Amino acid sequence: MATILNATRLTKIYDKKKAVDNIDINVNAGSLVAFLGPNGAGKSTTIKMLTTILRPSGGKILVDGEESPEAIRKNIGIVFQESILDKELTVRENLLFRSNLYQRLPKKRVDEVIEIVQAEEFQNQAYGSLSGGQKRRVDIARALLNRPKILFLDEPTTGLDIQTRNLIWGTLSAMQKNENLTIFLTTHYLEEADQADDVYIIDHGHLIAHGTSSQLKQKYTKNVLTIEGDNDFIEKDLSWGNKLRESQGSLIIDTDSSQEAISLLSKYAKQIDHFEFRQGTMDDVFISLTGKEIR
Amino acid sequence: MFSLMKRNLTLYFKDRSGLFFSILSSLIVLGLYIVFLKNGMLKNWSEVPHTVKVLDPWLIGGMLSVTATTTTLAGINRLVKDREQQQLQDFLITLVKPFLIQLGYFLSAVVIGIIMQIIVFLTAWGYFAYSDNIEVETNVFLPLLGLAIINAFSASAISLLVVTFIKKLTTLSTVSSIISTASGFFSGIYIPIGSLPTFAQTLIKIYPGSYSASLYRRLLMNNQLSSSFKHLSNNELIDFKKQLGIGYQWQSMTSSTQEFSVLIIALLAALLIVAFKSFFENRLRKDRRL
Repeated sequence: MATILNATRLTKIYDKKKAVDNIDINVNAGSLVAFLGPNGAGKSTTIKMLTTILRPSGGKILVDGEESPEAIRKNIGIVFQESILDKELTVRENLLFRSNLYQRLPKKRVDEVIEIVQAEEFQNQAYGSLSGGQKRRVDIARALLNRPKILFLDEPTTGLDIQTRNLIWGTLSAMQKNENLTIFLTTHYLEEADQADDVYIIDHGHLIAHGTSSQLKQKYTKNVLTIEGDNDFIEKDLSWGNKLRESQGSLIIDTDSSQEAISLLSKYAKQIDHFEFRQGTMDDVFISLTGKEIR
Repeated sequence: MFSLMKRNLTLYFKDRSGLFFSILSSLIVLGLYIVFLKNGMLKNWSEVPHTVKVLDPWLIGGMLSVTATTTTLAGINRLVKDREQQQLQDFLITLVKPFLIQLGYFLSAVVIGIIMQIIVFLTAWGYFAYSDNIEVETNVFLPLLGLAIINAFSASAISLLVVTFIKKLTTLSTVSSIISTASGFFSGIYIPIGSLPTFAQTLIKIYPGSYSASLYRRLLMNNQLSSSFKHLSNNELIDFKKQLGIGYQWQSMTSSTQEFSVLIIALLAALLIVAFKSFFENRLRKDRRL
C-alpha cells in the first residue's frame, strides 16, 4: 500500500524538555490509525506537528510526498479537540463561511459534506443548539470541506456517550471505505483502538509500541482465567509459580491460549464452583506498557 | 476576506445584548446630559440665545465620538475571541493570507463603527427633535456621513492596536470597560473641557477621539452658532468654543483641517505599529506556525 504520511525522527523540545522524542510514523493510504497515550504523553503535540500548527524541533514530515506546510495543508483536514465553529450561526452558515475561505471550492461541496456526515436534518439549526454528537459530526464535515487525503482527529469522541461514539465511528469507517480516506486519530477510549488498522502507543514522548491491536494484545497481554473453589488444592497441584496468584478469594491464572484454559477447567472440574475467562484487552496492553500510576 | 467580514458582522448584529452594551456608554452620556448636565449648562450659557439648540447638537457630536470608540472596540473583540478559541488556526489552515484575515477583522470593525454611528445619530437627533425642536440642516448629512466613515477607520485602527496587545478575553473586557468609561471624559462630554484643570485638558488634547468630537460639533453646530452669536462679540464666540471643545487651544485654536489630520495620522500610525508588530512576531515565532 502507498504511504500517505511519513514522519521520521519527529522531535519537539519545549524549554529543554523533550515533549516528543524521535518518533517515526508511517501511515498507509486508506488506513485508520489510532494514536494512544496517557495524558501528557505527547499525543496532542505530535498531532499539532503533523498538521503544521507546531513547528517541529527536529525531524521531517512528508504528506503525500510533500514537505512544505502549505502543500501539507492542502491535503489535510483537522477536527480540533475544542469546537471551532460559531455557536450563533447555523450548521449550513458555518460550513458556507469556512468553504469560502478556501480558494475555488464549489458551493455544492457544502451539500456533499452535510450528506457525508448525515447532517441534513439539522443543517439549519444553530450550531450551539446541537447535541454533542451532532456537533462532532458537523466538525468532521468542516474538516472534509477541502477534500483532504488524510483526516486528523484529536480525541474526537471524548465526552460523548457510547451510542454517539459508535455513531461517530460508523461515520468514520464509512468514509474510510467509501472515499478511501486516511484517518489519523488520538483517543483515550482504548477499546476504540480495536477498530484501527494500526495502533501507535506513546509515553513520555517516546514511541513504546506499534502494531495492529491484535498483535499488541498478543504481545503485551495474557488470557486470564479466574477460578473460585478449592483454591489451595489447585494452587498446590498446579504449582505454576508466578503465572498464578490469589486475589480476594479467587485464583487468577495467566494462560497462553483458550485451549489451555479449557483443559485446566476440565482437569479441575470438581474443585471449581465458579470461573471466568477473559481475553486480553487494549486496556491490559495499555496498563502493561504505561504502568498503573495516574498522572 | 469578504466572507470573514460577513461572518463577523452577522455575529455582531446577532448578539443583541453585546450590541446594546457596545452603545451603552453613548446612551449613558445621553441620559446623564438629560438628567443632570443639561440644566447646569443652560444656566451657564444663558446669555447665548437658543442655548438648547446650541447645546443639544454639541452633545450629539460627543456621543458620536464615543460611539465610534466603543463599537469598533466591541467589533474587533471578535479577533481576540477567535484567537483564544483557536478559530484563527482553523482560518489559517485554509491558506488564506494572514494579512487578509487581519484586514477582514479591521474592515468589519469599520463597518460596525459606521452603522452604529448612524444609528446613534438618528436616535439622538430623533429624541432632541422631539423634545427640543432642534433641526439639522439636510446639507450637512453628506459631510456627516463622510466624517462618520473616517472616524470609524481611525477608531478601528486604534482598537486594532489595543487588541494586538491583548491575548485574553477577560483582559479585553476589563480594558473595554475602562475605555468606554474614559472615552466620555476624554471626548469632553461629561464635563466640558473648559471646566477641567490643565492636566485633564492636556489629556483630552492628546486623545484622537476628542478631535472627531470637535469635528462633529463644528458640522452640527455651525448654522446654529452663527445665528445664536449674531449679536454677540467674536470674543464671546471664541470663548464659548474653547469652553466646549470646538477646536482645542494649542499655540492657537486648532482648525478643522488640523483636526482632520489628527484622525488620519492616528489611523496610519496605529496600522503601522500593528503591521510592524505582526511582522516581527512572525519572524521571531519559533514554536508555532499558526
